Amino acid sequence: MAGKSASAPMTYNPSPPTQKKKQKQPIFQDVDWVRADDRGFHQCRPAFMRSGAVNAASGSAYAEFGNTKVIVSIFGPRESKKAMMYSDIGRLNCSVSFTTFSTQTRGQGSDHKEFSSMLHKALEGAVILESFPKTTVDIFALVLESGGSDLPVIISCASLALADAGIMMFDLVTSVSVSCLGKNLVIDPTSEEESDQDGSFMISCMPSRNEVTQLTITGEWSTSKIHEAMELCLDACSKLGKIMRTSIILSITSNSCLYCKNSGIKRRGLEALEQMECLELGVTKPHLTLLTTPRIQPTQPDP
Amino acid sequence: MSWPTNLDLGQKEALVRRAHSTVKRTESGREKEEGGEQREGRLTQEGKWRERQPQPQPQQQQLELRPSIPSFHPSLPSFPGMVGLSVGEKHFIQGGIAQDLRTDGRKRLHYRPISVETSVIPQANGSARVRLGATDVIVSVKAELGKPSPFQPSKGKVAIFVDCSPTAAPMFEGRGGEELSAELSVSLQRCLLGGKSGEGAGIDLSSLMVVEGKLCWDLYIDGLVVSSDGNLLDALGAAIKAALSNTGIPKVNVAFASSADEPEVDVSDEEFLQFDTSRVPVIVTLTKVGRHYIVDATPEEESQMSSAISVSVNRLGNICGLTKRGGAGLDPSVILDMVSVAKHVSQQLISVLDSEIFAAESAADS
Repeated sequence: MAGKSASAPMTYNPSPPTQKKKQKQPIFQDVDWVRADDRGFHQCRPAFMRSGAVNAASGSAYAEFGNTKVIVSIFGPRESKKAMMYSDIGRLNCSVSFTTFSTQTRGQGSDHKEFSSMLHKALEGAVILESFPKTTVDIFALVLESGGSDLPVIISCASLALADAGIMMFDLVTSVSVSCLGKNLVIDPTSEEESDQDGSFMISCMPSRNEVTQLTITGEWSTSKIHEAMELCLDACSKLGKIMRTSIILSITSNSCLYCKNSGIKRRGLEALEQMECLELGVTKPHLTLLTTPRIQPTQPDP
Repeated sequence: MSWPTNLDLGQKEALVRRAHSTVKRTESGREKEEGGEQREGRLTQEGKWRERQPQPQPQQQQLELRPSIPSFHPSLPSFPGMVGLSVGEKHFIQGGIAQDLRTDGRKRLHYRPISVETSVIPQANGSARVRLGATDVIVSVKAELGKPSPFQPSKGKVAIFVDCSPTAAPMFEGRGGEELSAELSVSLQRCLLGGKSGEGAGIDLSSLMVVEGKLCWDLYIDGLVVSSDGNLLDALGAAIKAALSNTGIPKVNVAFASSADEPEVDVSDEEFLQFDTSRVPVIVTLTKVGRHYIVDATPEEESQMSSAISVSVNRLGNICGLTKRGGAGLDPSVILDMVSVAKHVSQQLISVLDSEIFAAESAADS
């Protein structure tokens, strides 16, 4: 369904300019209209994800879903601000911003409050906040190009970046949205489709635990349609989860990877992988011992 | 936690009996509760929706901010997540929910009595005040003439804002209430305004159009949280529904000057057009505590929640919006079950709310 990560470009590559002439508005009410990018209604855009895009960050990830391009950096855990009350669990500080050139009309480039709080809500259920008490983890997401389904891409990319930073999670969070256009349900909508949608359905879930961390619905939906959309999204989420796992493994194992020459980053990636492995074995909480003792010792400098 | 004061005798008895039976059980280790059968009988006799307490008729056109329903717990701040409860109190709340008898004598799917007042703000085109327990919200609807957006020339615009007043809780002072205000505003917009194309909206946007592409009504819906005692979203949703049915949009006579681009308008101050509010949905928030869901949670119950979903449902039984709160993940099948429960509860809420709005309107007219 989603993703041909192998064929996708390895570096950020601006897509060919979208056609300047505005095409005739497709009539979405028709049963047999064709999507602008020739996808099937239930077909996601090709997904490309890589962890370790920013060197200075504790962890980072870059995601490209069609024209939507997002970069997420994780900083911390750091000491919580003095003004904040004592908390025996960690805090997540989420901030989503759009570049000024991310949209058709030049934007303000400021923080997107609504997306920030949605990102927080989608992740807080998956991160083991007890593992970093009294501290804060900063999650900064930057949308380089907005091409539709921005929030789901941000959420998936942020969870990959968290895994890259070695922040303990119950599972990766994957997120997919569906647009309702007339009678059709269209998965992973582009921005044109989103601006004409009658309703939207966004789900973020932890695929291996089959748990929904966040769900929003707008527009009028019948119960049967909600069932259909949920089934569609959960299926896509589990497939996206596989892509994300592969990208983690890739960033650890491939020596040719641009970003992962640093052994420190390599080790962190391994920790994340171990965490995933014990989750796949059906253990709900990762083994702390496994995580604190890295399997590969960092290479000691010769005396 | 103090005892609720506005219970009738039967409910008080039921609560006391529950407390006693809990003690007895722990003493003798018996499984079966004493007096359980009797309690069930009493509660079902009361009917699903408790009668509204007789209240003195409010003076017309006057904003009365003094709560006429006594506050349950003056010592506790009414803010989600900030309720200080002892271990015993937590157990009492959770145990009560598991046994389908909550601390104020309600069942899991019972709302507190809703009281609606309309036309509370004379300056607005429409307004309503809704009280749900000690939760007290005011919604005003103001209509202004504006220009439609170039993307949707045949549609008016609706904006929803919510303000949390520091009178409700000290933490709302300054920027403290901002986060909650933003969350409530976004949830209400999601639940009432439908999709981007305007499909499925509770308010028919094309009815707000005056001259296509030139002139339309901008509807500003402003909510104010005067007192917070849990379940703000449902109360705000109900208040918006009531305020919209109270709203009268002035009749506009448009006269085109021969060559002028701008139409001349004459806004009538005598003739008003009413809104069709039959499509406006109600919002039902289901709070999950343990394995069960409850509606209309008090702040104490909200503090025990693992997660909650707010579903807005219209008269046809279609879902118009959904928001999830709380960090804990939910199984997809649980969500679908919660949606179907919310659908069931919403139909009762709609009929209760309709009769309350009707009563309030006729009280305001007389």
